[in-house]
Amino acid sequence: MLNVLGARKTFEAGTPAARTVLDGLDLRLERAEFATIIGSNGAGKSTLFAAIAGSVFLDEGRIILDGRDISRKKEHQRARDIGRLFQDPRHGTAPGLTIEENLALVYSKASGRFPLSLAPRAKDRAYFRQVLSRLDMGLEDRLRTPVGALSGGQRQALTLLIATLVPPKLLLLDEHTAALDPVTAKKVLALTRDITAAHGITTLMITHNISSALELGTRTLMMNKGRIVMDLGAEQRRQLSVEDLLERYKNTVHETLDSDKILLSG
Amino acid sequence: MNIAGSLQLGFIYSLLALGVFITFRVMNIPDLTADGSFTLGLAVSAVFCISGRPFAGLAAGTLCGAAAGIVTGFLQTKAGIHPILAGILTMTGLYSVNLAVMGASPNLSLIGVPTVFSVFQNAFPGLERSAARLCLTFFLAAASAAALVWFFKTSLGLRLRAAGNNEKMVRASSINAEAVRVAALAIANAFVGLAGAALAQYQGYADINSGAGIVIVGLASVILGEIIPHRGRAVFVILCAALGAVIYRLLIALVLYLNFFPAYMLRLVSAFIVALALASPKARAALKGLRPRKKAPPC
Repeated sequence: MLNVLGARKTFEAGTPAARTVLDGLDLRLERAEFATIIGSNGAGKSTLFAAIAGSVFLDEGRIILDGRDISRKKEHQRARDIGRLFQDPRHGTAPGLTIEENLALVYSKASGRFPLSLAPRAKDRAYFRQVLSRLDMGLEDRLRTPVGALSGGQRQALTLLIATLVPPKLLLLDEHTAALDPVTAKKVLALTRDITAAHGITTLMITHNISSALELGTRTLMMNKGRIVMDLGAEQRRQLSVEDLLERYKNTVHETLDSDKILLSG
Repeated sequence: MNIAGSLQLGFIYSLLALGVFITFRVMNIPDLTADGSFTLGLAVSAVFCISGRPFAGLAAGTLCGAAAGIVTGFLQTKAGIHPILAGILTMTGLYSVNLAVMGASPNLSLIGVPTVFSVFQNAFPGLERSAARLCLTFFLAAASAAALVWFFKTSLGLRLRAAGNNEKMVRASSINAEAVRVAALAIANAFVGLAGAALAQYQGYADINSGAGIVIVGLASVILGEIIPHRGRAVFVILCAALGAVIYRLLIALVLYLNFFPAYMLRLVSAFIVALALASPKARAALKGLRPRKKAPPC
């Protein structure tokens, strides 16, 4: 489904501050595969996502999604096929718009409606209520509440719902539960698992939580200095504990996994 | 104190307020195009009136305003020019365009020429002149506000509001944020152009300098409208912006009637009101000994 070939990106190239954040990275994801990514700060995880989503263009290399080279496509053109969630729950929704307006914004565009048609339409509301009820947060009865009035967890769950309302080919999750309290984070992670499994969405998830990196999905990738240095399949992961993984990281990278917010258990 | 006259002018200027409201308040872009697009609407409308087509004049003024907005939009998005400078560029260029439209004359008189107001007056001879003007300007303002209320409920309107609210979200969704920005500037300046077009026919002349400082007049109106207490729904917000212009005209009539200061001080007072209103969040925070809350860093 996703093929990243020889991705290379240097910020501030040609200056003394030049930093190579992607260093000839290769990555291949099969359809409906769910891979987690761990790595130190500055390993290039977020830049990899930015390059796939199109908010950063690669210096070298190609990005193939579902057989099409999207390396030169703009961010909003790629967004039809790629859903993206950030750590900050405020990024994914418009706070001044109501819940139903936030949903309608994406839904009316994705269903290819005429730009001057009403959004949301009356029959959309029934559908929105139905999908919102799956979150089990009571949001289905608050369609006209401004999103800014919701809690961080509710906003992130809503963002996840919006991103998958029309199932994307690829879902990019950049530590999307890191800013939530543990109970809410668990709930959003469970929702993530359910929604991606139900639609068979190919998913990449960056996390600092080593145990959820091993539990969620079918594959765990470790990044360091702009490359993937470890690629564990489902079989290998099953035999690994969190401690084993940290040990293997140490042996591969020759330094301890340094991250200001690494979590050993969740 | 001429209350009827102030209401009529207020209704015309409410179109300007709606335009400024879209850019400054909904989209959060400082757009100075209005100075030029207002005069463009005025000039085009006057020329159409002179050729005997006052209604086409209103339509043409609106379309030309939209075109000016599109130019600014392209300067901002495709050329990557700072929004304020982009507006100033369009406004400056329009000065020449406006003079060209007016046949190199700095003002055009519409005395003895049919305008929408004279046509309306002739259609309803029973109506007093002032009442007829009040009806027509009110209809124009009400229809425009209703159109904007409807537009904000459409898919495109939603994109516009979302772009002003959280542009990052719009960029990360499949919506072309640049196209939304150009559309917003076009629609905003269409309202401004219509305001100019209506004013030319209302006052019976077009002057090349009518638009100078008009952005501040529009902004002052929007800010005055925000004083009106209302529920946060889009309908009320739009109505308040439009009503703000009426309040602005009534206030001006009042201070001139009471002879607080000479008429030429008006622009200074307007600028003062806007500066005061824009500074108030920071001033309030300073009074409380708090720093204003910083926005979340982009990541």
